[in-house]
Amino acid sequence: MNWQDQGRVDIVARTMSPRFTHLSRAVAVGLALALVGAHAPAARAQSAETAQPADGTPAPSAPAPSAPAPSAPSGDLDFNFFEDKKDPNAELATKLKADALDRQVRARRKTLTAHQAFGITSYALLAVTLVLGTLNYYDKFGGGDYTGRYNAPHWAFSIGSSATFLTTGVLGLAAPQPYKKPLKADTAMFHKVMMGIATACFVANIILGPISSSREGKLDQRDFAGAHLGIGYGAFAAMTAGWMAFVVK
Amino acid sequence: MRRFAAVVTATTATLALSVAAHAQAPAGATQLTIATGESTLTYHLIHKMHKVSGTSKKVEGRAAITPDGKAQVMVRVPVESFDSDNSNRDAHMKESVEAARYPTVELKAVADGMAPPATFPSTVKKTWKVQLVFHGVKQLFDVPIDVTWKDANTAVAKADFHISLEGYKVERPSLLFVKVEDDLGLSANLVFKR
Repeated sequence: MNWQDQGRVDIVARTMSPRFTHLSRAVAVGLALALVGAHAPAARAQSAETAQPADGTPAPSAPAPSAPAPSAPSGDLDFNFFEDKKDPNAELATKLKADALDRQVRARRKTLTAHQAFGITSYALLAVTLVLGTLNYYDKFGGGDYTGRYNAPHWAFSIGSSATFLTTGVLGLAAPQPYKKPLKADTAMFHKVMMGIATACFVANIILGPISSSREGKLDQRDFAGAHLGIGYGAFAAMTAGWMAFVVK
Repeated sequence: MRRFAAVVTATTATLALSVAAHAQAPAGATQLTIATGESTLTYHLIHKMHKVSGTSKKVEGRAAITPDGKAQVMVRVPVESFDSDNSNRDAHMKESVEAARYPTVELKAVADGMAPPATFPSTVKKTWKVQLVFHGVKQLFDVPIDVTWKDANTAVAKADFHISLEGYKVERPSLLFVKVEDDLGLSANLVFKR
């Protein structure tokens, strides 16, 4: 009870005749409490329209322009049909858990932002690697001049695309998961499956590339090179399907 | 005499406190309960690349209608119950709205002239005063809601309205470095039964 309400109690008590001191004080207390109860809902309605979050951060008082026009606050909405029992220990535990989750969420967001950046970079590098690899194949086996001028750039970009692809994968797997996700046949699962196929293609090509190079002058070098090229396109197709899943659905 | 006065003091205080306590359903009001499982609340979000919708079927709530037609409705939905058929997207949603800190979306609505009709089925279209508490922020809206009385014991309320994510202090999630639009559409299909 604040000082204003205590004043009301005292004023009401003093105006009564001394002969009814005990009983009158009891009635005065009851009336004052009833006054407090009637005053409180109106005060709540007139106070800030925003509920305070657990960390005490103040909420905005003005709605965004796209929201429907808000009406004036009203005591009509001061009712509660849910009988929630307040447990301070449970509330503290909830706050501590939420704080811990917030830290994980921030870490996850940073990790996944880097994951997307590296993913886009590795996709671009793989595209260049494929172009150079195709030019290299046709330079040697497709009626080209057999100059070998695409060999070194193809090697360089293949190392770059493999390194960034590996980094992308590590970031994706290492991202914290504050909110558990059920196993579902959804776009996230499709993305993981496609990137798994791309990973297998990268590994196969990391093996096949040097083998193909070492078969210089041998009749089967063309076969190894052809397989190497095909698997490279397979990796690119799998990566394309993997990120397109998030775009399409 | 002193003991009598003490008893009267305690009794009077108790009665006064019960009057001052939070208002429950008004006396004499018709009370209806939301049929959980039959009722849904859906959000609609737009990203440059696609549209997202998530639906919750774990809606709980009650309504009270006084004999003079004044209606009060209170609905609560757990944030974690929204399902967009994409586990990654649902997890990202929970991160964005801090589901652990603000576990529920709460909606209160009041309107006059909502006495049950004499004939069924019958639809009543009214603009309700709605308060939505989401992500720890409370805002008021005037929302047109259609209430269809299927019979004397069943009413279905349908409403569509839009809120601003930034208005509710929600950090807009992004995909491929593109943020979703600020506008969040909400569709409610609530089945009330006596």
